[in-house]
Amino acid sequence: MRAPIGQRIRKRRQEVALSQVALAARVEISPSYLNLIEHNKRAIGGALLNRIATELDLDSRALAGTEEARLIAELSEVAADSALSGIALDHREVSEIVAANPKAARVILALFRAYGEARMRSDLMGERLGEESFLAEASQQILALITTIRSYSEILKDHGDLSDDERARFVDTLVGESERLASQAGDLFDFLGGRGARRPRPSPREEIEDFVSDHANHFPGLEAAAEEVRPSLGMDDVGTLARYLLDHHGVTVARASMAGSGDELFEPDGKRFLLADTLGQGSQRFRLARLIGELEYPDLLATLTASASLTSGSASARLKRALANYFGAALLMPYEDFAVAATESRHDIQRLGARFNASFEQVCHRLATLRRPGMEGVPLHFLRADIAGNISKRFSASGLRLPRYGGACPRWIVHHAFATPDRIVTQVARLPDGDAYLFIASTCTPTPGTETLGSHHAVMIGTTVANAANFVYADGLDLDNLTHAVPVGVTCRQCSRDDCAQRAFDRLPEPGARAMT
Amino acid sequence: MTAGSVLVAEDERNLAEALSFLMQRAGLEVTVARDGPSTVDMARRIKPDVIVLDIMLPGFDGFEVIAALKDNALNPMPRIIMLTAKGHEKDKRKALDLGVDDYVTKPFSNRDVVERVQALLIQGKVA
Repeated sequence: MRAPIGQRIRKRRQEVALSQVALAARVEISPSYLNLIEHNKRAIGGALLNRIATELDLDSRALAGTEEARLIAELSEVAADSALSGIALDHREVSEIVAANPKAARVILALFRAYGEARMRSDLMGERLGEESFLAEASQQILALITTIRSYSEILKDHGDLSDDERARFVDTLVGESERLASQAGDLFDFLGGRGARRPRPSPREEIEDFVSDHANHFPGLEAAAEEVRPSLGMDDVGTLARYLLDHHGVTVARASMAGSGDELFEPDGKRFLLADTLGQGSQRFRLARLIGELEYPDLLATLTASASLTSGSASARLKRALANYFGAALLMPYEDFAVAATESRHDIQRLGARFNASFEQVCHRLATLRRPGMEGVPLHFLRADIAGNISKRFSASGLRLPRYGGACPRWIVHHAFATPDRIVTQVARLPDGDAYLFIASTCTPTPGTETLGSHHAVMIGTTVANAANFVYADGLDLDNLTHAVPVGVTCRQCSRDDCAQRAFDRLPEPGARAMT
Repeated sequence: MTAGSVLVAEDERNLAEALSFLMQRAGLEVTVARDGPSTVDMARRIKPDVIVLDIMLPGFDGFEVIAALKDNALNPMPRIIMLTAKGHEKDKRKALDLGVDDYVTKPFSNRDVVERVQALLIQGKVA
């Protein structure tokens, strides 16, 4: 579903008292085409969006409504949840809610998130109650602690002749046992979901996704930092990067057999950075580039992380690592060089990978970060999923809604990529509302030696068919005739394709349909 | 001369220490065991007048300790005060059925436990 860009253009045009004909002339399109855009009947992006934004004195990102698009997407998904089946909000209504009051939309999403957390806790509690042992054990421990505290309190009260040592020891015990009691009580409240329980909050992954999405997956500060370092590197092979770390930070890089203990180990005291001997050159380079960012720009990373106001330490740590990875990618795939190469190669991911010595996932992710105002790349979506369909990374600037709370449409090519490992597969996919996209996907090869326990993922990027000609993968496809496009949805719950043989869940009732009672 | 000997069988170290302190102050000779097997072993060796026995002991629980003591035909059989948890009515009934002399429920007052121990010791002497 499209973000209400058209309404925003019309509203702003009227605010600045510009006629449709006048604006159309200024941005060099026909008035009738502008009329279609203003009524949201044509997709808009790229250079034209920037020209209109300039003429209307608006920020193109605000006009594109990246944040609004995300809210609409998430709210639509929430509206399709079985818990809300009796309400049946349709897409138009969702769009109106977001346009009229984005804050209200955020409140609804926060409530749904809280509901999701409560549902998960309820399931967990059900499992625990089934065992009984958790509550029994917790109550035993708490009673023992209360008894101990009571005993020492009585001793301190009744025995005025205690020696100083005894008194100090008993007070220490009292304090220690009180702290244990507080901790035990906290655990029990958490378990019971009582008044003292933790407040529901989004998962670290969700928080990070929101932050990245709010920044359109583009961080100018990190790009600038990478460009600052790049000239003093010269080359960017493993040896050069390792030498840079030694010369600038006194860190020695070494290879080691690290079976079962991860791919890398940084010893801050020993000033050694160990890399698993199973890592290929590309992976080594990215890890070294990331470490340069972590050592050279700790304040920048900390400031950016703090600006996200995440709700947990683990989320902050993960975001900081993700931002350092962003720096690493920006260092090894400099913005301008990469953007030009992407355009010239028509987004040939293999050629880009060969030129920048990067994996399929790294190239795809970097393509999705090309959002520098004035030098924007093609708006893309990026998705990473495992073989069970669990989504671990997602970002969308293409307009495609990516599911947040469940699995994606099983017809999406990203799932089928696992059938042909390491081969790039493509798909022209058409959503029920008529919007069509070019999807490009491939699996990501696990590190050698970790095929059994390593991570197996597939990555998919894509763009609207309007932008597909910018991709080498569109060659030979009849993009003017979409009758052969694969009919897809976003999630089964929201999909209107009742005849789909791949349907995994029943569709929820149409808007206006009465809920079963 | 002490007023009697007590074996405190309790795995919570601090609680056991508080009980020991109060009983020693009351003139009793106290030994502490932290699990089921050592409780049985110490009971056989020191032949205490009273055992203050927690139900939830590691190794084997308070009921199993009583069964083991009976199997060993301790003579005289020590008087036993069972420490049970509030709300575990079945435990109390089972303890009394096994012939324990008294029980107190957590969270209890240590003063109360000491008084009950002393009461059992007096009963023993009278008997």
